[in-house]
Amino acid sequence: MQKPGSTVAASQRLIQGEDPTPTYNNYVRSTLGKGESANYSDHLQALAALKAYDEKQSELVLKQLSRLLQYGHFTLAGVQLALQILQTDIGRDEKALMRIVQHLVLLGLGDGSAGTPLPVPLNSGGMFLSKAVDRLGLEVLVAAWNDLGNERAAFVRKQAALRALAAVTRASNTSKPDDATYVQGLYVTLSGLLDKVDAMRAGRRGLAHFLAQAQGNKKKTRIADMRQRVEMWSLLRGAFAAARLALPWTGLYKVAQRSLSALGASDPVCARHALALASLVANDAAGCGSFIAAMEPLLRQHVEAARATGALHLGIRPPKGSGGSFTAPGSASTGDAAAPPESESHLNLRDTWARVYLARSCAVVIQSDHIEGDVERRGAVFWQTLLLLALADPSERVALEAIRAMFGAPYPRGTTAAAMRAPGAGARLPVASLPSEVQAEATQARTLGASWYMVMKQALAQPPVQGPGAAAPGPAGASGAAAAAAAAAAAAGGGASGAAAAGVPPGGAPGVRADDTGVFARVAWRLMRCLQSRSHSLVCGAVRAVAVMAESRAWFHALSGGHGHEVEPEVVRRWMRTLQGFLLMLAGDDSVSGCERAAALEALIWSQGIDQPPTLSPGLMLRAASHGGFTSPPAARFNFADPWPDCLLTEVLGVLARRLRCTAGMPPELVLELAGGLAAGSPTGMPREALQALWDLAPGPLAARSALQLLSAPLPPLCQPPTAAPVEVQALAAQAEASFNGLKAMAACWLGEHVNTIAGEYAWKSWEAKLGPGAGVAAAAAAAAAAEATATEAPAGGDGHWGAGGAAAAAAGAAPAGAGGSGAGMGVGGGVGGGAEAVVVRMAEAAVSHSPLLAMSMSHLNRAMLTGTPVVRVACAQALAKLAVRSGEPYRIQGYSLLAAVLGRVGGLPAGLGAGAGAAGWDPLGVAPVVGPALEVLDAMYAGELVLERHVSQYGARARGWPEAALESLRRRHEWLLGAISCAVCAVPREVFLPLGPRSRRLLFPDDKEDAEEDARNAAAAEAEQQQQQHGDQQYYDEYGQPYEYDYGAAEQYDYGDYYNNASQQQPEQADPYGQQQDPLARYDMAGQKAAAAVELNWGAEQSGAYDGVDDAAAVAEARPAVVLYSFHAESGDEVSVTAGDSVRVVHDLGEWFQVLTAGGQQGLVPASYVQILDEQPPPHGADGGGGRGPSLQQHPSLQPQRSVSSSSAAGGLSTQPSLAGGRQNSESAAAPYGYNYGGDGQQEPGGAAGDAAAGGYYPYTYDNPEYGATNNDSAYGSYYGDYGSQYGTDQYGAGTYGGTTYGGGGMYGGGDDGRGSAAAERGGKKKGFGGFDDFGEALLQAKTAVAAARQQQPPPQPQPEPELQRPSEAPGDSAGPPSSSGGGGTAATAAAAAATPASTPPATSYGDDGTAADMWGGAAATAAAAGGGGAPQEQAAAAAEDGGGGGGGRGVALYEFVAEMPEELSVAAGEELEVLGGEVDGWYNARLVSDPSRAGLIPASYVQLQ
Amino acid sequence: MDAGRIHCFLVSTRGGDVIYERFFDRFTELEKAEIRAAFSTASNNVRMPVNQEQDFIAPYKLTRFAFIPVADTVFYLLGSGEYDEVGLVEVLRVIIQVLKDVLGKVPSPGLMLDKYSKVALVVDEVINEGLLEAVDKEAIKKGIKGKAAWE
Repeated sequence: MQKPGSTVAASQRLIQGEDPTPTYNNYVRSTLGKGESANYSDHLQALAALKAYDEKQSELVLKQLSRLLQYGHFTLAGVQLALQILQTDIGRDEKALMRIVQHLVLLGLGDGSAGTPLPVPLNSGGMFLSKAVDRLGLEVLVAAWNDLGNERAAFVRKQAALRALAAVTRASNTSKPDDATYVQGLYVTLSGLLDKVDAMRAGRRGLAHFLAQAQGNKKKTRIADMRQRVEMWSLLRGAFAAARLALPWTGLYKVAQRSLSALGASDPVCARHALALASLVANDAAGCGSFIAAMEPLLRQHVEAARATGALHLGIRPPKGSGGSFTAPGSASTGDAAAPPESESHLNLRDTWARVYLARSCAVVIQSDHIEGDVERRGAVFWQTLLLLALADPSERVALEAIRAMFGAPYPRGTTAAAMRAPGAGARLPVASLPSEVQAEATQARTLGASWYMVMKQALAQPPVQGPGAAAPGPAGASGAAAAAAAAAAAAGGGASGAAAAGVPPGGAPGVRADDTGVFARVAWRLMRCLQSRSHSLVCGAVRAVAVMAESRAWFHALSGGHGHEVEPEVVRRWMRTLQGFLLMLAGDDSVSGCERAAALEALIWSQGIDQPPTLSPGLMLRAASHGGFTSPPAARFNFADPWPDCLLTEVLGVLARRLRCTAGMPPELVLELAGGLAAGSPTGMPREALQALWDLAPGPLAARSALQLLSAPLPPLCQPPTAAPVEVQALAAQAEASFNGLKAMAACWLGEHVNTIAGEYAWKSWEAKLGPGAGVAAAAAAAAAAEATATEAPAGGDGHWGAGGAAAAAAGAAPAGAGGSGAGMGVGGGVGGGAEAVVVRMAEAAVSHSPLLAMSMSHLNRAMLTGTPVVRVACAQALAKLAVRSGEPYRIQGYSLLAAVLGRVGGLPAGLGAGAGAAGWDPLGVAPVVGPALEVLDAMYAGELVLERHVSQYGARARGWPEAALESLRRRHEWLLGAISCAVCAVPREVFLPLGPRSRRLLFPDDKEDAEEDARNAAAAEAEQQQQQHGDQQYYDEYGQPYEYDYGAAEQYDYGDYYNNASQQQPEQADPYGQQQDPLARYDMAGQKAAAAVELNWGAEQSGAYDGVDDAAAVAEARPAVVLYSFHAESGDEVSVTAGDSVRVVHDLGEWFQVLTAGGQQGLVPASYVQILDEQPPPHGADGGGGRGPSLQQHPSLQPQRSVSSSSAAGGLSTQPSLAGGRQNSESAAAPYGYNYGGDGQQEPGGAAGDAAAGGYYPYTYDNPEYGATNNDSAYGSYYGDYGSQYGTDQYGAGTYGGTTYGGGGMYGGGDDGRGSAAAERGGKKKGFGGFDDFGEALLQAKTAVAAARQQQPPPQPQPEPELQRPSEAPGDSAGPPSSSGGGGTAATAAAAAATPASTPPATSYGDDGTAADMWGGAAATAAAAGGGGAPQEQAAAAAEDGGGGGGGRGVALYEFVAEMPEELSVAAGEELEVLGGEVDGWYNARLVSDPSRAGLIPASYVQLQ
Repeated sequence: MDAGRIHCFLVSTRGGDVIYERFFDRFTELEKAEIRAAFSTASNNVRMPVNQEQDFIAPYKLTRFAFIPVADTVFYLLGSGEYDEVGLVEVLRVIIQVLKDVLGKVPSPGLMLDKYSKVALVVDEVINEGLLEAVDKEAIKKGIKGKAAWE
């Protein structure tokens, strides 16, 4: 304590307050009398005058001192002066003046200030006034407490000295918390004092004391003794108060342990301080035992006495005559009969606050480890005490505290000026964040739950007394002046309770029942009585107590796992419902203040869903939060609304946050909705960070949903005043609207920051993880590639043919989604041109990793950005930018597009044709400052990605192959991008975020181990694939995902790639579609043989591995330059990896695959659809259906000529027809009836009537060929029709016979038209019909046959034109004439087509021809697929085809002779009986001869008539 | 002891002019002004019946305050922790009661300014550095005269 100069070595936190010369404010100045000075120094003179005090000047000095007190500041000079005067003795009668001086000293030494507001300069509002402890040393200040060491000093002086010491110690804690000088000094002083008091008390009990009492003047001795005792207690009281004020925890605890002996002090305030300190001991785990030991016997006496008196504090009278002046007026009348002689033997509980502390410590003891809620035995006394305080105490304050403590409420916690000063004080969510806090909160929750259980067990027990008014009637409860306030209520309550004890129900409460005499009912009833009080504070206190009850109940229900109701007696539930109903009324009452309503809402939040459906609605929250906040001007308040301030909202939000953790009865959704209601009720007050903190605590998706709700919420009613409202109301509404928009902006910010995490979708999440478990292995990679391939218009079937077996399955599975993606991609691609391929790829990835939450967030943000107010717009733009940067594809491109659109950039280009300058001027939303930098960053990212891809194609995917300079450049670009992102958009995790795409990881952070692993994996995969191929059990899939069952050894040769390859030889002719249509005439002649030869050539080349001829200079020279549209990862040795944007050369066109030569010199296969040949114009996209088939037609327009050639080859002279049909299908799908319904003219089936009627001149193409007349079944077209006639003229496909039953009908042709409908084509081929549309299949068959022959080193079998000629003669049944003969097939096709796509029915019917109908149908199916955006119709079509063809089985008879061309086939003679072994597969039956069962094999289905 | 403290006691006229204020913490002048403003706003927002001494409560940041209109004046008390609404009103009523007694009549602005030292000392006796001290009327009366309880 004696450390002079220690203030000089002040800590860093020394607050150097200012010491201005105080002045009066205007108000006080106006009260000055005439001639009165307004000068501080004049008034200070009055203080100086006390040094030479003159009694005559007493009045004047007092008046001047009063004026001195009116300054808002007491200067340091004043303090020094007062300290000097304190030492002087100005006479016995002027104690009052000295008391003022003591007050001034206290004012100067302590933290506080007093007086009237001090006018301060405008710019010094934040200043602290100087305090003595900051400026004056210990040697000066010690004068304030010199009297403590002076035995002879008067008591009052000692008391003042103690107070001054406490004040200066406390002030030193504020300014110099690290300096323990004053604290130690205070502790030493207090210890000494306590020692002295102990010694005094010991002496008083001793023999000497007794002898001294016995001798001498008894009365005098008694008075002196009494005085000594009172003085002792008063000093002790000062010591305890000082300890409570200024000692830190350790010192305080030591003092508190000694406070137990002072519990019975005759001074009630001393007893109160002692109990307050003792409650600290009780609250400490180590001290609780000693507290119990000390308190239990004392309390037992009190409880016993209370049984007689009805009031705990009246149980034991204070010692006779001691401290009469301390006795409250009310309790003075209680007499002093039969009091125990020794004051230490009881508790002095006359002070209201003493009983508050007692209630608290009793509850703590019961909840401690020592008693553990065992209120039957060990804790009986404490429980009885608690009950007496809760039920019978005259002070409502005590009762409410006891009830709260009973249910486990935590100790109250004060706040400090510093805490209030902290930014966001009152606006920050009061929830635990540190682990220790969370732990404490969990402990508290358990305490609450256990307390409820304990009370439930006692709920029906009878309380120790009947009621506060029953045994101790009337105003007995008014003990002490503090209770004066409650006296009226207590008196009224006493009367009511007395009445209740007599069986009359208390006002407002339901009728008294038998079980209402139990503990819980009495508690609830007392609460209800408080709730009905007209005192706001009492109502609020009672509501808080109910809230504690509800909270403990909720925790109990949560902790009991749904069995909470089992221990709750009915009376409890009834009372809780009653209280809840009352609170509901209170919460909806606009006339009560916000504090009460907030407390009521808290209680209701806790009681939600415990025993009845939720009663709290967001609407109620909204209504409650917009009234009673005391924030708006009266005109607005009484007319319109009075929204809550932030602190109230924060409180309720804090309760909501805790309710999130206690899930019993209340789903988190409701919690968030209620918070939303609050926000709408008082947007001005709603603290944004508190709401954010609540969202942070809630489950992510729910919080995101809540934020989205807020983002798109309409304006709350508060923002929509009546038009004629007063200006205050309008101002309030405008303010609320601005704040609500601020909240929306906050929601947007929050979403931008969090939704990636919540959705689990962010760019640095590895793609493998997105694709699912096990995706790292080759199979899944293949699946990804397959999915990509399907999405990027590569036929799924083709992929299935080429991919690995496992991949094919995945591809088939992904086909529908891929088709959808491709449809969408095409749409976008048409719009943005150059960006199309990226869009498509990314859309495809969306199919793999779709996150609805992220998608929804983006669309909401976009909408809010377009429609919101500027603050919302900017926040949304920022959020979108963050999402775009942080998300993986396709969300990145989506965000990019949305942001670009805001600036009017479409497809990366400014809308106005001007380049960058044009974009700068176009910013109607005013978000360019936000969007611009974000777009720049994104542009840089995409550009970098592209460059990286090119480099990867050049140097490989691993760092090994890269030149150091390139790697260095890559690193620089990576770093720059990271920097740019964190500068312009948002923070990203630098370690894992790859702005250049996932590929850059291996390059930036090369990992040898990973490389080695990948090598091993690839090797293993290649080996496995090889083995698989060797085993020959590879499964093939057609484009419908149906497995092929051509289990021929040379199955792979039967792919159509060869066919396409043939077609692709005709590149130059593709430029002119009309030319193509006509030109194929030239090739027509060589169809068949030559085509087969070409195919053979190609296949042969493949077989010989000639594709590997990189050094084939000629081939390279001939190769056409092309650009890679999409990245492709090689999956097998034949293939080569290419990267989007690469320039390659197409060495061989293999149809669906190109053999390309990359810039890096590698040669291999790449899906044709991935490559755009540069010397070939991209096909028009506009009219294309965009489905699975359309694109391949575009990619390979050569198909059409090829097809037309072959068809024309048989038809002769009408070469354009088929290709026209094909083109027509592509462009128009099957919707319009074609003119050439040659099957029509009244001979069609009913289904064909429409087509017939519509026939004629509809064909949009103008044909130069005059021979062609669609409706004219003229002989001029004889060659064509004749051909048909020759085929069908007499055939059996008449209407009735083949009505789609036996013959699978056109269904088999579904999709055969474009050369990829494998089933139909095969079938057509096997029918060997070269006429009409069958020629395609025939050509195919021939090709296959040729290839098979070539492979087997056998002479290629001659194509057989005979069947075509035979067919008419083989036609069974009635013939309806040449044109109509096809009607049957047409019907079948119609039926199938109708099943697939009703829209396509008329044209299909109008064909009246199998092949054409199939054509149409195929087109229709394709169209439908495109229209549907998915593969479903196509699958339906496939299914229909399957159905149509699946009629096989059982016995049949061969209609025609069939000569096996392959070992697996079965040669039969016409008319032979067959046993069909299975259903039709791709137009073939597996059959065996009845006559010779050993001979079995495949036979074309059309050759068989089932019986 | 962090169970709760009284932060501020203030008496003002109904018009909002501060007659007496006592801060028990080291606030800046700006914070004091904020607290006064909060008091004033809250009391402007309630219909204060004359002569009923109805108590009102309102929140301020992390704390609560109670106020009771008495005749032409309004008494405010700001506290936290255990000094909750009920406790604050109780303390306020003690002060009002004692002041009425000490001043001899219902406190009015003029009277209080006139006997300013008594107001200050009563508050000093009841609240010691933010801690509730004496609540007994007689003891307080003796205390402001500088006398011990037995004197």
